[in-house]
Parts: sequence; structure tokens; C-alpha cells
Amino acid sequence: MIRFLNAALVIAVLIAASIVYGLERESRLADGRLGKINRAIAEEREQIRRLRAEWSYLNTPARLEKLAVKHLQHAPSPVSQVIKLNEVESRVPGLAPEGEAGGDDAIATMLDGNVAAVEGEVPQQPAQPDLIGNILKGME
Amino acid sequence: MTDPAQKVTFFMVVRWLFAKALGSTDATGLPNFKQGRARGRLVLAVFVLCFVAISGRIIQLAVFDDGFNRIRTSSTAKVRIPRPDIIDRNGFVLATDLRTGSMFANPRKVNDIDEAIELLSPHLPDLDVGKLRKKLQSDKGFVWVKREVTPRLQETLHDLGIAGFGFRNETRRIYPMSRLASHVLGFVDVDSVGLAGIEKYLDDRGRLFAASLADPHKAAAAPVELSLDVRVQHGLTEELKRAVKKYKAKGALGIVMDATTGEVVASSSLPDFNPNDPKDALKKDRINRFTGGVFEMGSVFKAVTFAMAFEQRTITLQSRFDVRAPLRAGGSKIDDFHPQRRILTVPEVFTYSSNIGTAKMALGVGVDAHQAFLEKMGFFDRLRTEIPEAAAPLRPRKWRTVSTMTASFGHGISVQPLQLVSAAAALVNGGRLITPTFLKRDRELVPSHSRQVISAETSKKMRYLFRLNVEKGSGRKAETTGFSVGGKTGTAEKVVGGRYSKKHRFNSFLGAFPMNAPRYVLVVSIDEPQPLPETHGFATSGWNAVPTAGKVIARIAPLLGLRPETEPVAAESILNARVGG
Repeated sequence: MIRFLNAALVIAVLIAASIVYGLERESRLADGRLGKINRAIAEEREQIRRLRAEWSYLNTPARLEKLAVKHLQHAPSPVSQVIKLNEVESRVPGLAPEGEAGGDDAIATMLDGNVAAVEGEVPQQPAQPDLIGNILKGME
Repeated sequence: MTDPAQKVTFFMVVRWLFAKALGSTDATGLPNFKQGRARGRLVLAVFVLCFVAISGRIIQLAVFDDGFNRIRTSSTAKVRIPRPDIIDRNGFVLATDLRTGSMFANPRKVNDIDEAIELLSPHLPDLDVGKLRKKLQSDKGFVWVKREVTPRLQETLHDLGIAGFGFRNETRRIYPMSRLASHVLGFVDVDSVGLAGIEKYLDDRGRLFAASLADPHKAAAAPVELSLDVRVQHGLTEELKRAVKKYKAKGALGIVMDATTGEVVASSSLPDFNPNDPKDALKKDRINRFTGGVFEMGSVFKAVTFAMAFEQRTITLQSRFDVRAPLRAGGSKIDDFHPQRRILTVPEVFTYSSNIGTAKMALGVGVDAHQAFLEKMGFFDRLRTEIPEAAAPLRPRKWRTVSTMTASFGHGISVQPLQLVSAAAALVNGGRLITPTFLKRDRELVPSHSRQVISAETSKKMRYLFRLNVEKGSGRKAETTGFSVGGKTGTAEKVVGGRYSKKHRFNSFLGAFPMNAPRYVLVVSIDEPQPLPETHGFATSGWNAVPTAGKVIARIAPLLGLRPETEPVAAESILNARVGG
């Protein structure tokens, strides 16, 4: 009887030990994974910060202005071009019910012309310009 | 009870219980410990107890795992909260912390110096090869190769995989839009401590505000939202730059403020600096002119005098002033720049910018009431906004009658330009003086930052005068198609060597738009503009500050989302409009 009990207990101890070891190992691995994920998150955050800084640099109004002047044939829209919605019919030739001859071509040609102008001049950018480098270089 | 042998002690009871439990007793009924089997059972019992205790604890941890969580969070609580980013009102990043790496080498571990240099040099064009070779040949354990490498370059260099080289990460403050709004942003030192502008505010008076942005659990901080709009800021700065160049001026300043909330939408001071490399930020001419300096604003200050006289009911729009003879005060003479030598109505005093008329108007109100009104408008106190560079106003130590006369047209009293703009906002917005702010402000919080200083009726009269002056007076060149502008011009003579100089001027335009319901106020000042052939040799405000302001408004008004008016608002129509409508 007591021998049986002893044997059972030894087996129980072995089983318990292996379970505890398994749990401990699992938790250690999980901890490692957690650390790795946390580092990855920090890395991603840093990337996001960097990209946001680069995006902001790309959106610098002075830069956009320079590019717009260079590549677009647009000018700031004069106030005379801003009209109320109910005046659209009388001001845009293609929309006037009588002037069907001109049709909607007026707008289409306008658009086509501009699209062509834009398409023709977009320069080939290097794959990954070092923008942060540019910001720092801009320090004269 | 008398026989000591009969005494039953606690120890005896325990012994007896053990004996019963182990099932073997000796002659006295006590456990026979000498028997191996009994001893074994005792040991067994102790072990069983221990295991039960441990299992219980495991079950407790597994099922009710509060304690476990508590341990984890406490170990991650000590994280550094980064400096918050600074963004404009539309979310564009104006300042952020970026990790940059500095490359170092351990010369003892570099196997092949020639190969390392050969691999590195194409990526680091400004690297001094000779110096690096010498460094790598030394037997030190640590030498710097290149400080502050951008993340992208760091990646490239890392991928070269040269043994003995490594990176140390450092955090650096970056201002992606470089010079834009540099005076508002300020800058930080190498340890990321703010030295000027909003950056200083975050470490200084705004520490609590900065702390409220932080999220302690994520080692992150919410960005600081400025009231600035980078597009408007750029438009303003660009036009000021052109003006400085055109009129060969020493400097310029411009402020655009939301007249209904006190938010500064753009404010620029030239010359400016690059906060990424603030080495010339501390030069004397780079001061922040909109809050960090005080100026005698000149005739633009007359608007305040007019509002006071309307408010005190000493004049009406129909009152008349005799400006035929110059005024004598103390040892000096007060005369007009454009002498009319006749009797002017109140609107004429405004549009001809008569010093004599305005001085008489102030005298009519009285010296004490004048001082009280200026104090009420905040001109006697240092205006405190988030920007730490705030100059205190200058006024005569002893206020005499002549002080009232000169202060009525903006001489003898020096104020921050931002102070004047906030006063102008009160003059046109219905009479509420709002404390200006460089941070985004919730519209619902405006009442707690403002107080009524003049009546809505006076404000309406001021709107009329402002509009009239651009329609017919000295501000004509500020007129912008589609947006009815109103404003007052000012040509202040600067004090050079202790006396007013006719050649050194500080020219301003103080205005508001659109005039039927003013939403924005602005001031544009040009410091020492020179006369040009195309300005017919004149260098007064109407020839430089006013047209510049006109260009600024034409450029920024569409960005501010104002709908263009199909026809200009006539001054008379403002006067006829119902107050409070």
C-alpha cells in the first residue's frame, strides 16, 4: 500500500515538475516574444515619426510652391472665378442650354491640356531620397 | 490538579495526536519515533503539506491572477516620456524627435582597415579618409566615425556589415519645415531643453500642460497643437520677405489673428533663423518682433484713441476738430503729416490721420480717463502668451498732459505688436478683448479668456472708420478684390540717438477683414523701408506697409476659407447695419 503510494507520489512529482518546467519555459519564450514585439512596436513608432517628419517636409509650403510653379500651369484663382452655384449655368459656356454647339468640349479640352502638361513634365525621382538628410542639410 | 504528573500540557496533546495519526504508540501511549516506519510517515506528512500549500498557491495565481498583473505593470512604469511633437492647426508636423545614430568603431576589432574605408567612403562623401585611417590604426577601443547619421543612411551603413563598427542612438529634435514659424517654435539645445518659443514654454511655464499630453503607459505624448496654419504662415512670411527685399528694409513683422477666438493664425518676424541649426537665432536682429520687442506703433494707435472718445461719448461721428494750427505742448510742436489747415469731421481726422485732431480728441477725454482706458485695453501690462519672449510696454515714467497728446497718436508709448492686434480685434469684433494664444483654442473657452472693453455700438463705428479709411483714405492700397478690408496706416518715426528721425521709420498697417463681419485682424510692419523711384521717393506707410498688407490679405484670405464677396462692402452699409445682427 505504502509502496504504491510512494510510487504514485514520485510519478506525481515528476509530472508536476515537467508541467512546471513546461509552463516556465513557455512563459520565458512568451516574455522573449513580448520583448521582441515591444521592440518592433517601438521601431514602427520611430518609423512613423520619421515618415511623418518626411511627409511634413514634403508638404512645406515653400517647396510645394516651387514645384507648382515649375510643373503646373496654374495660377492662384482670381476672385472673379469664384461664383455662386446658381450662376454656374450662365458662366460656364458648355452648360448653357442654348449653346449646345460648344458642348462640354470646353471643359474637356481645358482638362486634357492640363493633364498633358502635368504628365509630360513629371521628373523621375530617385527611389528613396534621404529627406531627413535634406532637412539637416538645409541648415546651411 | 495538585499532582504535577497529572498535568496535561499542550505539548502532550500534540504528541498524542501525532501518535494517533501515525498509528503506533509505545507503552506510555506516545508515538514510537524509534520505529523507522513512523518516522517515514511523519516526513511524508510534512511533504504532503508542502505540496498542498504550493498547489494551492499555483491555483490561486492561475485562477485569480491580479497579483501577477500588478507585478508586470510596476516593472514597466519607469519609461521616459518623449518630448511632445508640435503640429500646426491642420496636423502638419512642425517639430518632432527623431532617432539619429552616430557611427563608432572599435579599432581593435576592425580586421581590414582599407576594405572598411573603401566600403564606407561612397556613402559618406564628406568623410576625411586620412583622418579616419589614422583613427582606425590607433589601439583605442572606441572612436567616432560619423556623428548624427540619418536613419536611412544608418540602415545602408549597417547593411554593409563591416566588423568592428556600430551605432549609438541619440534623439534629435527636427523641424521639418525649417525656417517656417521659427520664432513661434523656438529651438532646443543639445540636451533637448527648450531655449526659446513654444519649446521653452513646454519646459517652463507650460510644464503642466506638456505633462497633461503625456501617456505614461505607452511612453508617448500627444502633440502640441498650435493655432498656426502653415499655409497662411508661409503666405505671410513670403510677402514680408518680398517687401523687405523690395524696400531694402531692416526687418518686418506680420501677425494674423482670429478676431473671434484670439488664436494667432500666423505670425512672422524677419529676419528669421533655422531652428534645426539655431546658431544665429541669438543675433540681435533675429529677435521675435511680434512679442519680444516693443515699438512706438505710430498712427495705427489712433484707432484706440477714437474708440476711447466714442466710448466716453465725448465725440460723435459728426463732431468737428479744428486742425488749422499746430499744437504746442511742452517744448515741442505737434503737427500733421498731411496738413489740411481746416476744420475736419471725425471721419476726416481718421482718414487724413491728423495728429492735431487726435491729440485734441484725447485731451477732450482727459488725461486720467485716457490712462484708465489704455490700462483697460491692457497697454500698461506685459502681455503674456505662451511665447516666453514677452517685452514689457514702455510708457513715460510720469504721465503728463503731453504724454496723453503723443500717446493718442502712438508716440511715447511702446507696446508689443501682438498687444495692438488683440486691441484691434476688440475694436472690430463687438468690443471683446481676447487674450491672444499660440495654441489651438476651443471656441467654447473663448468667453473665459475675454472681457468686454467697449460697447458693440463703438465697435460698429470703428468698423466704419476702418473701412472708410481703406475705401477713401490712406489705406487704399490695401483694398483687395473680393475681400473688403478695413484698416489704419501708421508711419512712426524711430528714435535714433535720442531724437525722432525723419529718415528711420517704422511703418505699419493695422487692419481687419472681411469688414462686414470681421473674422481676422492683422498687422504688417516694415522696419526702416527705403524710398524707391516707383514710390515717387516716398517711404510712408501707404507706399510700403499698406500694399504689402493688401498682398498678404489677397493671398491668405482664400486659404482661410473666406468666401469672396461679389461686390465690395461700402463703409456706409456697415454704419447702417444693425448691431448684434
